Amino acid sequence: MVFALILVIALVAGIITGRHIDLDISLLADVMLYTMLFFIGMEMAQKREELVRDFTEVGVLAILLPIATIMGSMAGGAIAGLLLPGITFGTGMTIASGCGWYSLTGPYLAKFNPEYGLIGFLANFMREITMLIFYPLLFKWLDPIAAVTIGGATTMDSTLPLVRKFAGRKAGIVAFAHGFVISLIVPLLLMLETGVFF
Amino acid sequence: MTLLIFFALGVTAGFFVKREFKIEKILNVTLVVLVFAMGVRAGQVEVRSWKLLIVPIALMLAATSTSVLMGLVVVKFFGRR
Repeated sequence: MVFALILVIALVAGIITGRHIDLDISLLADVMLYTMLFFIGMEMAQKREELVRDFTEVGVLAILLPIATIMGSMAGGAIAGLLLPGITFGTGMTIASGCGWYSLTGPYLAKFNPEYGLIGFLANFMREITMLIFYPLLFKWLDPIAAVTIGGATTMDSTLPLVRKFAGRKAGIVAFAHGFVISLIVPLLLMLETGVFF
Repeated sequence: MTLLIFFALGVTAGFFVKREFKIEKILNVTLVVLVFAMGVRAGQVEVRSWKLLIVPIALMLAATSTSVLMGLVVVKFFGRR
């Protein structure tokens, strides 16, 4: 939660800087994005045995639940895109396809359109905050495993301790696998959708 | 495409590099810089309407609620074996 606050402060500081200083920061942002993806890929490869073991334990849910999350997000985003002013069916679907991975979706979409980048960041950032607030309240009422879908890609890292703490070990494994599969698919999905809709 | 190349490079490096870096710290720093950079870009955009606040909230609610519905369906059919 402290880190979430730091991110909010960084965002606000950036907005204030951007309003008052004519600063070209695109190169730095690109370098940071590439660095981050490099290390995410490296971490996944280094922990491959752990990942395979967890995947085997949860079985078919490890694949079907993230697919449900992605399809649900795309459908919800597309519907919102049709209803909301200023965005389209395709852009709504693309932004929602980030599935909570705000650090990728925001900067990536900003390369095409800064406004969509900001919407992409905020929509996906709020998804993480929603998970942090609502999972403990809703997991019993919905279903401990189905409620993992609220968190999208964040269930692999930042919201994983939350799921383990409240819903137990099995839900924790499902959450990790869920976030991992989404993290593999989202970059490809974003590239595909921006190619079609942007 | 460049994103994918860097991701693939990272995966390849992960197979050969045994030493585990403090990735969490690296990610935290890059993330803060990225978010700041996004803020700078966003600050340079002329905000013309309320949509920069309402649209993300509506999008997030729509995407999350449909995801949960789909998740409930999957758990109902495949989760209790």
